[in-house]
Amino acid sequence: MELGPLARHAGLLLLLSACQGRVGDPPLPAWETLTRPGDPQIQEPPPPFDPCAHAPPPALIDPPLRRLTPAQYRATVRDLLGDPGFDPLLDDEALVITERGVRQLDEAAALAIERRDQWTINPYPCDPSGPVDDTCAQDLIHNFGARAFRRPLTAEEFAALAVVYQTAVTELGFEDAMSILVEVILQSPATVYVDEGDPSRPAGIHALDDWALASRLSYFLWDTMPDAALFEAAATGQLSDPDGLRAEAQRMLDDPRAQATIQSFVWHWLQLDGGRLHHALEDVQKDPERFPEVDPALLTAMGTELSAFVARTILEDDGNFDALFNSRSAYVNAPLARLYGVEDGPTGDDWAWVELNAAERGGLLTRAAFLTVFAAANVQSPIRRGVFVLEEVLCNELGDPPPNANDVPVVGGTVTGASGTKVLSVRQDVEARTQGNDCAGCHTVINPVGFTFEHYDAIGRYRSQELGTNLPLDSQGALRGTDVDGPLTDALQLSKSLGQSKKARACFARRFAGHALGQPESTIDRCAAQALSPTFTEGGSVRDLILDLIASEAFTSAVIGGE
Amino acid sequence: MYDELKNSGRRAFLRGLGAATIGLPLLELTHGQAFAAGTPLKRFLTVFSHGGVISNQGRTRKYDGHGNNHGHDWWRPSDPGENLVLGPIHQPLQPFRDKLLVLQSIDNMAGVRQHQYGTGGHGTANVTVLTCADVQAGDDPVALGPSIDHVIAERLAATQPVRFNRIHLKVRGHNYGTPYARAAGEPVGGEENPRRAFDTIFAGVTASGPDPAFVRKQQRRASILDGVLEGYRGFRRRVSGADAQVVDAHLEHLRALEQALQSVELAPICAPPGQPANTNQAELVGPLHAQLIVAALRCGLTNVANLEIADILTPWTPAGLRMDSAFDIGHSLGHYAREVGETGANAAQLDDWLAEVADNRRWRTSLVAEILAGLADPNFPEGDGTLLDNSLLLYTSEFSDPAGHMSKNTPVLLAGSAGGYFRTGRHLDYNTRAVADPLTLEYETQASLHNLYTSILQAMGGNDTHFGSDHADYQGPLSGLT
Repeated sequence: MELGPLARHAGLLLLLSACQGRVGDPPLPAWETLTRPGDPQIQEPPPPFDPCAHAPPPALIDPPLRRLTPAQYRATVRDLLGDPGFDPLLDDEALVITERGVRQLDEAAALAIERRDQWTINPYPCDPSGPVDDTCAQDLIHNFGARAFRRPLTAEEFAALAVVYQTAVTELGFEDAMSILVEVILQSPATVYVDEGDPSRPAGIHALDDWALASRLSYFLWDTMPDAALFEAAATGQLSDPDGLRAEAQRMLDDPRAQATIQSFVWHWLQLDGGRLHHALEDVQKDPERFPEVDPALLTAMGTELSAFVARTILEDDGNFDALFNSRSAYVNAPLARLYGVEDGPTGDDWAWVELNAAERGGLLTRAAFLTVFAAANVQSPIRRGVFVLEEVLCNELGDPPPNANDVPVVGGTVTGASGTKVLSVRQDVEARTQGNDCAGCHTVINPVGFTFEHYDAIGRYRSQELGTNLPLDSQGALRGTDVDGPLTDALQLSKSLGQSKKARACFARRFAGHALGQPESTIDRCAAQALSPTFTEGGSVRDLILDLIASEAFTSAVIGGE
Repeated sequence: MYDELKNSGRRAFLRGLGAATIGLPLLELTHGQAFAAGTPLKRFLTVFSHGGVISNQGRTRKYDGHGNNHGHDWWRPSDPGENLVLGPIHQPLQPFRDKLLVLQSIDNMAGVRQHQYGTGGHGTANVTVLTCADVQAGDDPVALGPSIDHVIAERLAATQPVRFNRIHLKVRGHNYGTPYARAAGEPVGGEENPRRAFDTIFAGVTASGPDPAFVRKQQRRASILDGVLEGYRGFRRRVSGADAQVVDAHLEHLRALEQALQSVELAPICAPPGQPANTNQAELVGPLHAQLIVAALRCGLTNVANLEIADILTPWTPAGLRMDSAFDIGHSLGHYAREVGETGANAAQLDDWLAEVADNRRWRTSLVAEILAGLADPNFPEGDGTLLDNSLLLYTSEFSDPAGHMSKNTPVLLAGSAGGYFRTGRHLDYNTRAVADPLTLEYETQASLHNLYTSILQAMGGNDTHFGSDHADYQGPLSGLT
């Protein structure tokens, strides 16, 4: 059977996942597995076992051919034509493009031409409504083509586009022929796909050329095509030099466009674009009786706040991982200020940076966007919040729930059982439902993390009594199976622990590297992510992580060739 | 594979667009007239409802309602005999009872046998239920084969040229993966917005013949497409290995667009439906999608149509808000099945749960009814009967009991007979334990969706002896359908 592009890499993935941690199944030092406690032969244990001590950085894989994401394609066409209002329907993110995706590209290119009046960058070297001018067409192919392809055209590509022009000018006239060239270039493989390979080279790992590096940099840091300065750096060979590459990366990180990638990464990481058990933030539905203030504007505001927070924390302030979890600055409007209990916040349609109450709020995990998405429609969801922290912040893979697991939201309230009717808090209900043998193995780890969030209701408001049951809230919890284990009083303490956790940093590096390299996260294991940026793992500077990642072989090279 | 395009390229095509030669069979079709002669046309439709039904299906035994789970099966016909008496979920289909086949006890064995717990799970069940394919496991499993609609679409398009090999509309919402795939590793989603679907499917379709301005626009688009195709052919020569599959798929889709362009001249003489609302509200989108599907089939724009319904909640139905407002996705409502049995945590809510889920699934069934009503409209006769007689519609879901993620006893309802191939108006149960006692709770079957789809391929004119992976107990069609 012909295997898909994913299957092709299955063998490699196995090799790379050797030191992955699992809850309840930590990597054991060899001596522990061979001896029993109290064995008299053992005098003293060896030094602490570090499974990542000698791990190499992320290995190169030959990833499937990628194409620009819908957001990247949209931004690229906007930049090519200087048309920030260009907003076609593009939503095909499938690994292999679908018919619908190809149709959308076709329609997007047509839309770009229709919006000619909005262009602020004119791709035409001459007036296309003027007389036939073959040289002008050739210039269009050379210049616009190279910007769209993000590299000079090959002779074959030039010849093919010249044929398109010749045929069109004969049959439809010069003006149509020129716009047809633009439309063809906008849909061309070199525009749509991230084509880094040169099949004429022998199979193996090759350093990317400057043009391919420029594309990697700009799509990683800006989510769009290179600007003129980056093209210039590529043309003059600066990017092949590690110092030149770093200087260019620094320049790009200081540009406001750098917000795009870090924001889209965190958005995806926090599953604000939807998850296995929840809608995207924009589609969230809450119980209108309990949360009459929830409307599309409030949900949008939660997202705005989160994106602003991420951009400021990572790019403007000291860019420390710890701040992501513990900074209390928040960018709020009036409805959000009310939700957070900020008293002298902005009014009307204004937005402002404020400091949130230190007794109630910390970083990302205590903000409305996260808490709203990880909640049922009427109450908080400690299980889902706990699972998120363990799996996504700490990379503790929990595995699938057993087949008899029940995904119904645990909502507490009046419960009728054999012993009569009683009112349970969400926490009590969760404890009651997860105490069985099948559940307890994972839930003794999950629940104590999730319970630390008990004070935040289904839209992230801070409460001292539970909404609905009016029972007191208990946010006592604990972290287990990490490098920052211990009891916790609440989510603020959890956030403090996570901010200091090397395991959480390695996990962040792993998720972030997967995003940056366009590789499924599973291909970058924990040790490799840790080896990628020891400075980040130690000091927590996200800027260091980004720069180290860009300097790594995984970023500057690719598996190429072998045709 | 694409080299022949160079010769059959757009020069000939452009000339074709200029001249108004119109293919006769299609012209007749577009008038909704009787099909003249030769093999009657066939069409295939799916209505896929994510999230299962009201079912008491267990792995080897059905629930009796004395445990946590309820003991109700509201997809099952009300009479165990072969004479079809529709059950509660199928009530909206009463007018078409004679055209229906309800099949019970057919397992999705590709899902069951490739899932760690032997039930199907969300991802595995979804990607196998229409493909019966081997699966590449993972957080988001991938089917390594095409779904049945794609296989039929390719075949029918070869003998019944159409603008779109298949169309695929979706009622948007939460669900786990898509059951539709073009090929191994190529999942396919549907168009969610009825206005956009209309704009694509009915572009240039008029009751009075081609509009010259539209034809000129298409000519320009043909030039573009031709240039784009050439670019991808060059690209294809540069890439190797798995990347070749990616570029091949792109080329294939470009050819599909070209085909749609070329057929503009073939099927424009057909009254298009009114332009639908530009909406994302499910209660409006569902019926609009159903109407678009009917109109596209009547106009001969496609042979294969799919309506995919996410696992949505339906608060607009009479019992739509009976249950606790904790639910924001249909998935949670489905899971509640295991709480409303006699000893379930919320036994007292059984009636409310049944009412809300039944209304939800009946609303989904009403979309099937809307499609069938359109196809059975006597104002659009075809041969001695209607479009429905020459069609086959499959209404199914990835689960029977959603709470158990149960891929056994997959819901299967067929409508239409594919030109008299299937004997309809019947109920067949492949549960071998039910021979002695039709109401038994014991469950055992050898029938798999593999066998159902083999039967369907045969009904559509194929001589297939098998469909999909090697996970079924036996190869060949289901017994008793013809």
